[in-house]
Amino acid sequence: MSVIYVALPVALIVAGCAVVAFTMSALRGQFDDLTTPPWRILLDDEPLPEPGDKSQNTPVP
Amino acid sequence: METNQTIVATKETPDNSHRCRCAHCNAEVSTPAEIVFDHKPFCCHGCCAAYQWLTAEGLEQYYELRERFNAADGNRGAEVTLDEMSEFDSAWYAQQHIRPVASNGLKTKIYLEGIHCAACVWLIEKMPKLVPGVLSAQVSLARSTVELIWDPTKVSLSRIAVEIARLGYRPHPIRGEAKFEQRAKDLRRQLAQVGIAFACSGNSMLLAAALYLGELYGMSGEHIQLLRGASTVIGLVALLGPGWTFFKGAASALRTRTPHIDIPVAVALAVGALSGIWNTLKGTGELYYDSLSMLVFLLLAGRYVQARQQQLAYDSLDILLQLTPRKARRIRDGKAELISSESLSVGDTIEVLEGESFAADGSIIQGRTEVDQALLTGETLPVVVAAGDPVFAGTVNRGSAIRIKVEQVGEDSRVGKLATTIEKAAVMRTPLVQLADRLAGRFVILVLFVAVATAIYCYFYRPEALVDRVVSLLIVACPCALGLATPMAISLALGEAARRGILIRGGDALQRLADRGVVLLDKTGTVTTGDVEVRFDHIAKEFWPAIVALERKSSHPIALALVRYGNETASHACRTTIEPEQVEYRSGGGIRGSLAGKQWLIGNRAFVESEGIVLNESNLQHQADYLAAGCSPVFVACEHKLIGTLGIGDHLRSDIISVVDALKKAGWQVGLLSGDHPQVVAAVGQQLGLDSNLVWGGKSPEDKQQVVHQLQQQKLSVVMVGDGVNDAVALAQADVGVAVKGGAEISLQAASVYLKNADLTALLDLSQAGRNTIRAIRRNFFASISYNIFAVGLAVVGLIHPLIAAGLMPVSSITVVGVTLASQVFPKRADAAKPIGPKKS
Repeated sequence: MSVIYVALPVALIVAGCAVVAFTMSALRGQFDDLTTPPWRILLDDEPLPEPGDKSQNTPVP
Repeated sequence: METNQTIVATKETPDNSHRCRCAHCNAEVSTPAEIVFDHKPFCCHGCCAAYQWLTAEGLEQYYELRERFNAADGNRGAEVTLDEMSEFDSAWYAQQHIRPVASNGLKTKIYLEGIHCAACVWLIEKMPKLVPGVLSAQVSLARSTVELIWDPTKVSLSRIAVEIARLGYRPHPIRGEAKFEQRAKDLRRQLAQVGIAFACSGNSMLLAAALYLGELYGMSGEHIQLLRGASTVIGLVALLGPGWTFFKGAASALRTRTPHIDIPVAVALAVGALSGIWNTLKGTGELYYDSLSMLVFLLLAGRYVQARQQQLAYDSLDILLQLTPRKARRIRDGKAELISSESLSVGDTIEVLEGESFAADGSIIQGRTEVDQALLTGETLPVVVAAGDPVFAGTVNRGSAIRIKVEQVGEDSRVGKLATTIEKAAVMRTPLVQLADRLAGRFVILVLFVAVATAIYCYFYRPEALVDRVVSLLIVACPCALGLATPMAISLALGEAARRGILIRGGDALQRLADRGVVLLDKTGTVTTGDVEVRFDHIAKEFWPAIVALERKSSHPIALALVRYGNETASHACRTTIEPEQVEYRSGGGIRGSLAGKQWLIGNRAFVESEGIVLNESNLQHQADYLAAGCSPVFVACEHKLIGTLGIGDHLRSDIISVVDALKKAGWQVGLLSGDHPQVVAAVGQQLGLDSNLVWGGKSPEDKQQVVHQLQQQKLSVVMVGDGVNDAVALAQADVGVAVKGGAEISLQAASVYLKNADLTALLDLSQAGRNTIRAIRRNFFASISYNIFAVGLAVVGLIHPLIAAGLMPVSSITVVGVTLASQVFPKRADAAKPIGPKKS
């Protein structure tokens, strides 16, 4: 059971990292807008344009 | 709403019928369409250009996406000139809104009119492709804003703005960004705290579970001490980090001697923390850290949900405020330039075109016109002003272009002064002690009493259990669910209200609406439609063509009403185009003209009498009748002889009488408070069946505030409904100020409730919702208190175990949340056929 002396601090450190990450993302406003990003992910990206032809990249419907 | 109706309409009219729809904005086009491109009809050249542009760039997917997201209607493409958008290139804009970003780009945020679905997001975020020089565009659908990064060496911001307008999204500079940022920052901080509290409570519960299981299966003493130590550390992080707000709240509540829900919470947290530290050091005794950190988490989460809901209402209001232009056309060295009205200074000369509102107080130096002062005075009909006369900021130029010399700007202007008064009135508004806080206040006294009683009992009979029992009692008595009750009920109500087009700025408005008091309605624009019409006609039909011909040239509302009415009653005759030889507009009276060799006079009594017309008995009788019906009389004379009279006024809204009756039935007193002529107001009051003691006419903005104040001194709770600048002070003074659609910006700021539709039945919903919210809060309180009484009972007899406390807390909270979600705060719509849109507008 002495593993708990290592496991507990490690677990707490991992949890602490998660909390720090969440706090940072919250304070930077990543959760401000919950409407647009979900939509954005549904919109297909266009294929990257081939170098040279600008208008040929008609998106696939 | 509109969206839905359009969808229905499309289904009913297949494409091959005689009506078709514009391929870009989906507006109805009559066939054969005048503008056709690519075999598709367009309503205007702007839409056609937008379509051509999109297809040329390979972005026609937009139209598919739009259909997929069920947003059938688009925005009309608009051709705007660079000049109109020059504001975006001005120095003040650069200073306030543009920030440089890395790699020689500039960043700004612009409000766009008409973003309504994901297809719009898609399209606007394609700006870098459409306009070379734009590096990125990020849309926020909730706020209707786009964040642009562009390369200033390749394209100017005004050019980008013009291109966005071409797609149908008219750009506006953002205002009030600082306030928004502040609110957003507060919300972010709250969210971070919720996250920390959640992590702490989760980990605490894991440790607590380990300890309980350890008790069952036998855990070695040193491991138990380790887990207890870890639990204490996590618990203290939760209590001193996110939980600190409760101590702060309790401290300020004690300082101001107002009951507050934070007090019992802080007591529980403090007692739990201290006894926990003591027990950890001692090595024995109960730890309550899992319950306590859970408590902190649940309460903060509830408050966050409410704050977020409130933020949504604020945002929607902000969006409305963005739309009012704050521009002025300054004349310098004979040249006009568009500048922001903030940068106007006293002594400047500005030009105000027809239909524009004045950006500052000033006096006319050139030209004569009519000014719609309804926002300031409530007067329906425009006032004629000429050189030398004063005009006021916020009023609208209804006549022709004039030039004014600026005399007062910003806060010194009459509107600015009103704004200051409004702020004062809003501060004076008695703060409402939240229901939950009031209950919490009583609850604290009760719990302290029970604690003392238990302590006394234990002191005599079981001294060894004294500390444990009192501590556990104080902790389990903490009304967690009670703390959740108000935020949950209020955020539910605010959300439902927003879906119905009612924006509520704060939870206390709902609670104030629960008490029945007086509803004061403004007349113009609230009770009446605000559009003048001919309502009484005592003129022979054959005269109408002449009247129409004379009045056609004027844009005065009365003239417009006469022409409209004339075209309807004598349509066949009016089509014949008779041109008057001469027409002359007289300030404050009417017009004089000659037509087919005859002299005509159309105007009010003073005007025609000054021209030597004598009124007879029946004319005077008519005038009295009109006034009694709330109309303004107009006299028509031909060749120095009166040929008839007309009554002109605006109509009552169609549903207003039933709304007033329903409000009365619901227990409200209903009154009318207006700046319009007392006789007219009295007449309208009579039509509505109001108590004449509650009808006031001819009141200035300050008078209106006085009336509200007097009613409040009679211990009546006052709900003021209005739309104008002249109502704004009263709106701020009233317990609940309700601003109606189409109102002045300033009244939006003063009011605590805003109705997005001019439909006053929303008032009924509101008053019902106020009651129901209070009821929901009470119900929550009962659910929560019964758990607490149970737990306190157990604590008093010493049966409480931290495990029971840990179990009771979430169960009672879940009950409260469940009960709240199940309750119907707003009355069900009678017209259920009107679906609520898939998107929140």
